[in-house]
Amino acid sequence: MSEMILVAEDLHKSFGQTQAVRGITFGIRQGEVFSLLGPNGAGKTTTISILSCLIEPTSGDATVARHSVRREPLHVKRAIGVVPQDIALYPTLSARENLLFWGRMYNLGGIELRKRVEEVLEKVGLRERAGDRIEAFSGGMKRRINLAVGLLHRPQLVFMDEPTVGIDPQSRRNILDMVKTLNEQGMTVLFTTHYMEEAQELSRRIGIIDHGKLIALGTLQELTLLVGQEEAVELSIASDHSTPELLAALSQVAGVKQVTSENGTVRLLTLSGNAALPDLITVANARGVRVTGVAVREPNLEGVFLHLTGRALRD
Amino acid sequence: MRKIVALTLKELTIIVRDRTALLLMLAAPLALTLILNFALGGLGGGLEQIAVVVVNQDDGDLGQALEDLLTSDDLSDLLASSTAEDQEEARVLVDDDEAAAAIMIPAGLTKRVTSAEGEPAHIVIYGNPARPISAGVVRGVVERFAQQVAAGAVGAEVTVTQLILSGRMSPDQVEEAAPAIGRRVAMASVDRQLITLQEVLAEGGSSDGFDALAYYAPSMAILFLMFTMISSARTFLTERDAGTLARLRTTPTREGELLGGKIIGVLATGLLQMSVLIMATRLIMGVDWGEPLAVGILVLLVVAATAAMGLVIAALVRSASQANVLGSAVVMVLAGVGGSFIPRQSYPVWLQTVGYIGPNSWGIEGFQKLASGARLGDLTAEIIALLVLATTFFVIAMLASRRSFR
Amino acid sequence: MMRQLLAIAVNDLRVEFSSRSVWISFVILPLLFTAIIGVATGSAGSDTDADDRIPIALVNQDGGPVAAAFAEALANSEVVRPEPNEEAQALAELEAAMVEAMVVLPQGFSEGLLAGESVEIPLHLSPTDNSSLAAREAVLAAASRVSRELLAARFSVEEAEALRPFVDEEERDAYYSEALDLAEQAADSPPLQVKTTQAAESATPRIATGFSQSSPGQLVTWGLATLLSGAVLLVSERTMGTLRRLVTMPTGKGVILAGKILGRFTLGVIQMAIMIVFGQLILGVNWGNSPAAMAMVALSFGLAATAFGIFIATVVRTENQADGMVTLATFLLAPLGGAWFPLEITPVSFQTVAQVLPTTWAMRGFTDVIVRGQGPQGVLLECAVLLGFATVFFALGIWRFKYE
Repeated sequence: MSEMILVAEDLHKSFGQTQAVRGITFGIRQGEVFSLLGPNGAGKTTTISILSCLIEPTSGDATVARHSVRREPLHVKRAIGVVPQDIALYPTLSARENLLFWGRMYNLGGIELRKRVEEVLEKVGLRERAGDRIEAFSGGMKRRINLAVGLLHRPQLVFMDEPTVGIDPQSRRNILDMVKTLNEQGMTVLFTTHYMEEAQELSRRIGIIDHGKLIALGTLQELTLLVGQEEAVELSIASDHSTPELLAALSQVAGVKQVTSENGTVRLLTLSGNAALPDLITVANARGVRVTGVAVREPNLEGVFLHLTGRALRD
Repeated sequence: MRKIVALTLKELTIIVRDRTALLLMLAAPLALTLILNFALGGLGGGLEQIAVVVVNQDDGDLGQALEDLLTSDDLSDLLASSTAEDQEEARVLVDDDEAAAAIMIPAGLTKRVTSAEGEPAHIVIYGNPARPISAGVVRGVVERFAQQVAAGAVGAEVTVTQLILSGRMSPDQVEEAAPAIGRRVAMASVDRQLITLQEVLAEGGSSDGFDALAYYAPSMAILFLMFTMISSARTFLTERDAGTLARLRTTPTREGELLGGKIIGVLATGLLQMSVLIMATRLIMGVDWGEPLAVGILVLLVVAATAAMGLVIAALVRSASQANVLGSAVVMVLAGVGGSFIPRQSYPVWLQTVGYIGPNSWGIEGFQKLASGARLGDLTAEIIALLVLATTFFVIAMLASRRSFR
Repeated sequence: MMRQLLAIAVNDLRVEFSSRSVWISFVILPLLFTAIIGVATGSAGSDTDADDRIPIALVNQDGGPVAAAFAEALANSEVVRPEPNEEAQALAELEAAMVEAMVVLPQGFSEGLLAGESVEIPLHLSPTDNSSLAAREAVLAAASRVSRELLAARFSVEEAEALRPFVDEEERDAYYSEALDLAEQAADSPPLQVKTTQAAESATPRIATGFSQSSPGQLVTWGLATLLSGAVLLVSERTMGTLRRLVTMPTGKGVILAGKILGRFTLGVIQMAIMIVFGQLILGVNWGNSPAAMAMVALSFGLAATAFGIFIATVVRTENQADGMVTLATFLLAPLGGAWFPLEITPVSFQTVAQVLPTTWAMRGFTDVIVRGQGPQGVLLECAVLLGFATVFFALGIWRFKYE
């Protein structure tokens, strides 16, 4: 059992009246990929900000690479690499110039810095474009350099905040593959996302976060067990047809555990989607409601999320 | 320490690659220096070819003398004179903004003045309110003429009065002798000055008039330095918005290093700008800024004070574009009261005092002194003032930013 | 369509006023500044009151009657304020720029002049600027006046002597003294004087002379700054993407742009109105000679400036660049158009070239209304030129405008 490289203990953070983080506790083992999964506004960025010593928690503490986030921020920062959600690069400087600058901010210098910059450029596959200004890069390329900066000083632990938001599929694939490669080479990774597929693909353990709280924590298997063997069924109907009576009627169908509706999509949890479907459609039709789309999903994190919160993971 | 260097170099690199910034930092002040020098070189002396209309209704010597003076070759550079037959015609020309003034020489002027009795005679100048300064110059010329005439008349009056009082002549005799006396006194006093001035110019001054170049080179440099410093300080906000500030904070860099690096970056930008401007104006326009060491120290102080001012503005606003709006307004005001376009000496004293709140007024004064040959020791007032401004602004900025950056 | 246009305009105004600092640069500073600059330039050049006269040092080492007369002539000057002092201290003050000039009346000054000699007196001037030149003129004027009185007295004595010689030195001196006194009196009311008048309708009180220049000058400057900043707003909307969003709606591109133009134009007009009212009511500037003419010029200028702002938005890419260009344009167009100093004092060639700037025509128009008391017909030319500028820049701007 490898040791815990990061331990967050009862973190709280309030901004004035707003409570962004309400008692988050979890640990990350050395060498694992851990993801924080949750919808927008759940508190992911705030949590990562606390762990990167950017903001101070209102209460609670975290230990990263044996250093306290509250008391020894400089030490923590030396051990971590941060890849923020914003493209925090200087647009009129070239990729190489950016890396050289940020490397210096990470206490690197001289020939070692230059070598390392080339290495990292190679890693993210942008060696040929290194002399071009960031402003000329596509969104995906920018994110790759964004990642590269976080790796310069060979940190023990990398924090990535929503690393694949808003980029083309190819760049996204590239980044996800890179995370895997990094992890194979021994890097511990903490990343936040609201994409269930990423969390499922990359991480061993996942923490589901909503409204500032960790509502579930464990491996993918452990989490899906929470919802038992339930499958999620989605029915698309006209939004003004989803009346409480309809929902009540649907929930009477055998095997249906939970029914919610959002914007013309009725979501149900049931033991067997295939078994329940015919009855579900009959019930709907009997009420004069046309079903225009049907989806059956096997147990997955979205189902978990739905089960726990009654809402969809994606907005 | 190395990090501060890296941070500074980053600031400089970014600025140097920004073409609009360079335009504002370098091209604009150089262009304005040249243009203003051309436009205002010889403030007041730049007036030329003032259009005047002369209406001479006098049939005597005096009227003719004035008309001749106004149309003479001597004044042909200053005045573009024409004559008119009647006063109405002349007034219309002025009303239509075709002349700066009309000079009405009334009928019977010579007779009135030489008879030296009764009400004084008047030459009337009908001025164009849209050209007050030109009209003023014309008035000056005519008044000087009147004074010359008065000199003769005063002499004649005094002589005649005393001759009667001392019994040397009777009133009737005086009346007969008057014209002759008048002529004699006119000849005796024309162009004679008993008291002449020996002008001693303080070090380095020239008597050629207002040296526009020596004024506008530093004043424009400092004006656009103010813009640059506000812009540069504003990057605190733009970096915050872009996320690079946050990223800097996640690196193992102390807050002090970050702050120091940014501030030194701002200072370095200002120093770079001033150095280039000083060298450019020296090479291209031949401006002599003065003793190098003193100039260097003054530059340092002016940059420090303006940079601190920029920091205050950045600390007081909430967004980068607010900084622009407030910054432009502040610079506009300081440019006015600090004398960036019009030398402050022509302002009332209280306004000059108000102007001391801006680094530009101290800077301009300091550079002017150095350009006319003063040494570092002569700049004590400026040095102290700039240090005070720099420190005060800096403290205010630090206090104000405590709120917005935590 | 009209409704959407108005909605866009109103929304832009709302965005503009969502931050409080805009009031500072929109109203407070312009008004404050107009007042300050008006006072400053009103006192420049023309008659000043006692406290504002240029200080010069007067070192009277003579103490005789002619020196006294000279001192009095200087004291009566409307341009300089003589401050009696010792030489050493006066030199120090001159060096410290506390006085602009130093006049020395050396020992033997009065004696020499009374004896009929010419005398040269030292005049120390501080490094060249307007004030020291003005001081020099004032000292020359005082010297000239005293000289005249002396010459008059001397002449009278000569004439008298030619008719009947004096009994003795004493009688001669007495005659001379009497002559000087008479001369001084006579010089106070010379037989030939110069009177200045102006056209009746535009008689503005002297104290407003400064404001007659500064009020329109500041109007043009701040109005320009406000209207040109429309460029910044446009560019920021472009980069933010809200502009593109507007375009995807069932609203014509023309309507969008027109709405934005209207919004910015309205803002500028409101500001100008505030400044004009302030100028009229508080500063006593005669804007009200012909409200129609004044409105014509203000609106034409507003259009020209708004149009130029749109044009700027088409030549820059980032908000930063827009800010820079707006600043640059303001600080070039305003002073060179005569908003900061009257173009009157510039060479004729400069005045001709300055006609390419819209600000020159705006200033001319405003001056026509305030100072020359012109009505709508008198400002037709200026308005036409300004509208011409507006047309050209609107055309260029709209043609080149990119929505993303």
